[in-house]
Amino acid sequence: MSLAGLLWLSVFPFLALAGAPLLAHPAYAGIPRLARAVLAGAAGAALVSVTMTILALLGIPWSLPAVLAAAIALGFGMRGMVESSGPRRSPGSRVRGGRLPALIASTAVAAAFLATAAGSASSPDLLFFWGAKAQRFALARTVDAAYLGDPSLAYMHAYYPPLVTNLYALASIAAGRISWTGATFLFPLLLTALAAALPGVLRAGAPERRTSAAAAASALAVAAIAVIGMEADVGGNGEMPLLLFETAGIALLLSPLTESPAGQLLAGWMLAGAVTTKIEGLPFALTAIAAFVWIRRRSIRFGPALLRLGLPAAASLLLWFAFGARTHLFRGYSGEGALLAPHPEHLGVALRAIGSALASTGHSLPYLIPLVCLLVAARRLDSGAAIPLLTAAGLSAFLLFTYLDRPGDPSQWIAWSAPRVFSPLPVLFALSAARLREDASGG
Amino acid sequence: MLTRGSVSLLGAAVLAAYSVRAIPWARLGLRPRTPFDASAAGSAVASGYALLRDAAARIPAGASVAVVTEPPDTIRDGYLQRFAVALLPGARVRPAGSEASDADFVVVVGARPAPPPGELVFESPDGSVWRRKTP
Repeated sequence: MSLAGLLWLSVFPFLALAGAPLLAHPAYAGIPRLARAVLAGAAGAALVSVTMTILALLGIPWSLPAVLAAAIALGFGMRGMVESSGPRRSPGSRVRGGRLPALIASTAVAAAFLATAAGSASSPDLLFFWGAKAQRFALARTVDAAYLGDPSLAYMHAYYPPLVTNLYALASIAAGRISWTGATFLFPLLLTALAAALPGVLRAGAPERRTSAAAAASALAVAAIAVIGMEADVGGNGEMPLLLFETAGIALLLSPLTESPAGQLLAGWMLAGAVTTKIEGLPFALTAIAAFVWIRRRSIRFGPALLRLGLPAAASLLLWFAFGARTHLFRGYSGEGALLAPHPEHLGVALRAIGSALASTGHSLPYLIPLVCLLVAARRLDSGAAIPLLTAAGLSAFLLFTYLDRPGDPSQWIAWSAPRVFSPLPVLFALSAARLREDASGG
Repeated sequence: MLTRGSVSLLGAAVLAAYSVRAIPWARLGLRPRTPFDASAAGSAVASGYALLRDAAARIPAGASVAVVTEPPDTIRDGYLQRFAVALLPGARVRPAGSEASDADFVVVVGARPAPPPGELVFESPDGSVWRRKTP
């Protein structure tokens, strides 16, 4: 990779500066240090993106120092919302049986790195819109409304959520230009971050009996993402950032941390990241939040919990829609057909096409293996497992509805999109399978 | 008896092994020409990317550019036009399917066209770049 590529990528660790004020709060002391650093990066990414959207809305040009300073200030504002009470239990220094899962996850991550380096995991969508938009925004130092409004560029979907293009633009401003190769390496780099953080997030505040299952679930989720990413070519597109936010968000919702306001706020920012990364992040977040407040209704205060979980995502998205309204570009998400006018006659075709698309991705192994693991554990799962499972059901229903919500045969669209958009499912299955009841056998 | 997470661990191991198998080992010693050399999108994407990237330094900012394929392929033209928007950010890229004859530059992905559409600016195994008139 060129020096420009390394410079472009070097901006991303700095995003953690924006999330650091929040994650440095003692309420998060129960999360292992490495996982906290990754969560600071993810929260920072969401905070930086929302900052850039606010600046675009106000007509203030972007610059790296100004964006980071404003995002850090926002991060301190979020810290101010965290109450002092919260789980302070220090994490155990050692995870029982953690070495083998770490080795397995590392193998999958290394494979993702090598595939990306060989040019076999890159997404053409990076050129089609993610990178093209970001490059233009970097030149304009803002979200370029005139560019998005160009009818010949309608395929770039002006309304599409802004996080990936905002962050790519920021990196391009810092590096002087976009690095296409650098962008593809975000797939293995973010997978590395996820592999480093997930075991720690899942075991934060959890009883020790859960740590080995958490480590195994993490390895399973990471390996499934690696295979899907390599087979479905996600390098440089929005999939890996989305999976990072979604996985971290669900892992937090499964953790005892989210019994506290601090944990709920952090999960809220992870889901805000998902919502502002891709459209399907919205149904994911809505279902996850609804499942969480229903399952945990006896141990949380419903209203405040809903606010902390949903406000970051709602505010981030509303700011983006406000930008669309101010520039007369969009007022919400657009579909390809008349909204809520699905074509159920395509259901059989769509289901067959989905099955075929998933079967052609790693021989369906990255989807089937986590499903089998879930089924094996099904009779021993606790109620918490319902959170990722209901989220999986909600996301699947949304995706199926979307495929049917346009007049034409969706087969081709499904063939190139289904392996990617269904990629959160194996992660959700893996995390569910780790939720074994206290009285479940094995040790 | 299965211990906690042992089934998941076994599943993770199978997937990790599959990921190792999916590495394009034969290409690892080679420096990829483009980020798309071995992607599922295939050589069509890689050659278009390489030509447009190399053409970028030879096409002045503000010039209008049409991208076509040789032999003609309207579907591929559409993709390449989108690539050109990304890889030639200073140029005014003509919409796919529009008349190429009034563009300042024509990028031809594939074989050299006959007759030549203008003055040859640059040629590579991926295609050629032609100047139709002085911008």
